[in-house]
Amino acid sequence: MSDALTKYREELYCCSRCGTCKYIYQNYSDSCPAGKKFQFETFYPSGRLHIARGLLEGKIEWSERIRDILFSCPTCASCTVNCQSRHHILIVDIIEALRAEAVSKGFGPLPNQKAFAESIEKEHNPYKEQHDHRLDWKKGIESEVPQKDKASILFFVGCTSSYRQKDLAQATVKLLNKLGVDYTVSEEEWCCGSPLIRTGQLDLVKGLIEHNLELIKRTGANTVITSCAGCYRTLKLDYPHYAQKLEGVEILHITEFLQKMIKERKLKLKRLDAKITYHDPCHLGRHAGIYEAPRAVIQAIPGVSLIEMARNKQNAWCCGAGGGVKAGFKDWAVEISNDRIKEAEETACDILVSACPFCKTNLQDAISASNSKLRLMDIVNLLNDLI
Amino acid sequence: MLQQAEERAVITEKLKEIVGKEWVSDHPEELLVYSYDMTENPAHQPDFVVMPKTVEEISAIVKLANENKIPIVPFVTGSNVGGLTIPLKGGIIVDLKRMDKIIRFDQDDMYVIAEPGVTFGHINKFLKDTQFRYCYPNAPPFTSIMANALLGGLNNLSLKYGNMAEIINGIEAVLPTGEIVKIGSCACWDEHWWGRSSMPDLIGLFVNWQGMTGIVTKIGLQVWPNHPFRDWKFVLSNDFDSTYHFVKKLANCEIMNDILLLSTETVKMVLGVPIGQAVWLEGEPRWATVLDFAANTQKEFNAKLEIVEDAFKEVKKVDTKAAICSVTAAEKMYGPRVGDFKRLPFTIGGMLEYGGHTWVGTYMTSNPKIVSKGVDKAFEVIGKHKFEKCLYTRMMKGGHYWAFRFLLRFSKETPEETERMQKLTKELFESLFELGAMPYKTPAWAADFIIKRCDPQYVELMHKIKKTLDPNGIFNPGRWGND
Repeated sequence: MSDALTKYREELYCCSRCGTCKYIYQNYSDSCPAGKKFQFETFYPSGRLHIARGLLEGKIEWSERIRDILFSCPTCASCTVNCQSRHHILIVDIIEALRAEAVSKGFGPLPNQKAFAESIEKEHNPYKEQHDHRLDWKKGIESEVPQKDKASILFFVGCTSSYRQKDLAQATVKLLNKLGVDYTVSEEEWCCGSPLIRTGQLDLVKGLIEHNLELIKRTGANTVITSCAGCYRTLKLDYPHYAQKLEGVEILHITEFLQKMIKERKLKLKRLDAKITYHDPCHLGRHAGIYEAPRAVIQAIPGVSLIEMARNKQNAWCCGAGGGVKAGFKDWAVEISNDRIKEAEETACDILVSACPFCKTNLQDAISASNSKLRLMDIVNLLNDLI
Repeated sequence: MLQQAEERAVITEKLKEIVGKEWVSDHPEELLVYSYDMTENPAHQPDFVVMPKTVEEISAIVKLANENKIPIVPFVTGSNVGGLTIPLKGGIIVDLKRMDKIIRFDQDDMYVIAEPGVTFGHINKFLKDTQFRYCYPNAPPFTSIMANALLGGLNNLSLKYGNMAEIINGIEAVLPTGEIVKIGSCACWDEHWWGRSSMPDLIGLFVNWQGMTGIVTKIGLQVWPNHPFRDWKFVLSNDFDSTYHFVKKLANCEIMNDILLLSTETVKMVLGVPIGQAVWLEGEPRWATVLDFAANTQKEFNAKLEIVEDAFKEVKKVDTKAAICSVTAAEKMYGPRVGDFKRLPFTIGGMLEYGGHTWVGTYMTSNPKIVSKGVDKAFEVIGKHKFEKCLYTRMMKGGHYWAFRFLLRFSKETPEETERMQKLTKELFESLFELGAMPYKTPAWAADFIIKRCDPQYVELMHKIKKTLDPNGIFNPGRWGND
């Protein structure tokens, strides 16, 4: 019997398949992207738990179908909010443990997800980019990027901002500069490990974590800031499971840091007469409970009116990119995002704002695919333009 | 169960031609998950799971099943608590959840036409901003309103209107031979689904037949206007007989929306106490009665309350510690989950978090002596088997009959626990049957028990009807004596 199945044995027997995890509780909108798409009972959170029970009891064997069922979940954690049973908070943990088990049995990950590990092992990023080019995002603003080895704050850029959303890395630097804080960035930063942890490819994870923790130690930082919700979730919530917690080091998402700056009256923002709606990244919201900081930051902008989408905060519809779905189910990931774009359009907002480069990538793909006129910005880019 | 792999492969391909390849599965994973439900009823695997989107697709599936004499079982969420979607003879599970539209909402005649996949949650959301409401059981929000109506479930308007089958206006169904039929006023006019009066009433061919006579694809169900004044009261008491007389008196007054009479164990389960700990302790109230009021004016509301308080005086005469209190007061005493009774539909967390949940749910006479005897007998049987005495009862249709059921939670972690529950439900059901209680959403084993004891002419008629409608006996076989 596997470790994952044994560890969660009790929780697997909590689920009676009552269906409450399928929708937003007492709101009744769809909450599970995979369930909505595939609709067989097996593709809902409860179905996955019952697949695990079947494995535990020896009634089924690992298969490619189980792989598809497990890896179709964007791990958005909506089920952890909506399930009313006592195991609710552990559902994503169980799914991730099952994924790790699937990988160890040779039934996972999906082919495109496997490429993450190969790339991370070789280049320390999942994008098959050369590690030497990690700081290419500095081009054009070299003089603005701190060169120092030590600082009280480390800006953990993350792979997506380093290679795919370079303007976000640049905007974060410019913003931190304008705030006059003592920070640095490091060319020795490696992937935080999120793509591997989310897809059950754990072999390299400990090494990545040890490397990054050592890097944080070397900078002497007491605060690590990241503008990526995925990195944030991983640094804050996953690292302590794999390594000793770094005492005296606070992990902050940039929105938490900016909220602090607003409270301390260190942020003076220009007026922007605009209606903004905010998309909660799953890793920031449901995974880490950060709902108010980004909203406080947006509402601090003079002239801005924050309009909520129908599903927001703990009920926000996932962008579809997480949990390896963007790589594993490319078209469907955009389909999930399309629903979110439509929801944003229904607010008649001027700008859709998010706080995660990975969400931004997928939301932008949906905007392009649907020829939407919606303007999409990361919260950091928005703020940087207004200081 | 189809034995030949080749035969299975052919059927799979034909099903894919009908509904599209992504909506058919014969994978072991789906076959396993669709083989059982939350109850103690034994599992049995289907051969295929198929998810149609249209009535025409269902008709084609049914024709294919007939040609090959393959059993067919309709399914929406499988949470009927009677094991009714477990495919006892294998075959095709027709999962209807893709058909999830509310097709019409007629405010004049106050009904909706819904597809099978519409759930209590969805109808609640749909009616939220209207002046109308639907009726809700104390069940998870994501069970099908159609399934619950066709299976005669109860709800929070059952005191007024009876079980849910009584609020069906009409249906569209695919017969076991593939024809599509409409029953009710909709048989004459597609635009009028206001009722089933005047013509011979054939709705009964689909009510409580548990999917043995076809697949219902549309259903007309009544909705009701919201009342501007709505409130709930809790009555906490210790003496069953006086409490029951109070409930019956109020039911006969025809002033209440709903009256629930619960054991303390049930309240504790709703509050979320761990399994095994929903027990009544000396000094605690023994019974909790939930009264649901609605009125058009404050004056009407006050008058109703006055009648309730007058009736309650009779309880106080024999049960001096009995008390009547508001929901707010009950929430203060027991916690906010008590208030879930006014926030239907809701998921009773404490009931469904141990993997196994079942009931012995019956409708029976409202005769006070028999009801009282039933409570004593049932508590004795449950106590003997060492499960929790979670009694959940409801006066039906103005007091014409009584819903008497026990909510039973158990762990599915070990087969032994399931076997213990099987023994309890069997003994409990048999004890109540002897007192005149008839189970609804009747599990196959209980149906077998009943048909051996009821009028043989009734059984013969039922089988004749079944044979006429379903000559190949492919619809949900193994139920009510139909193999």
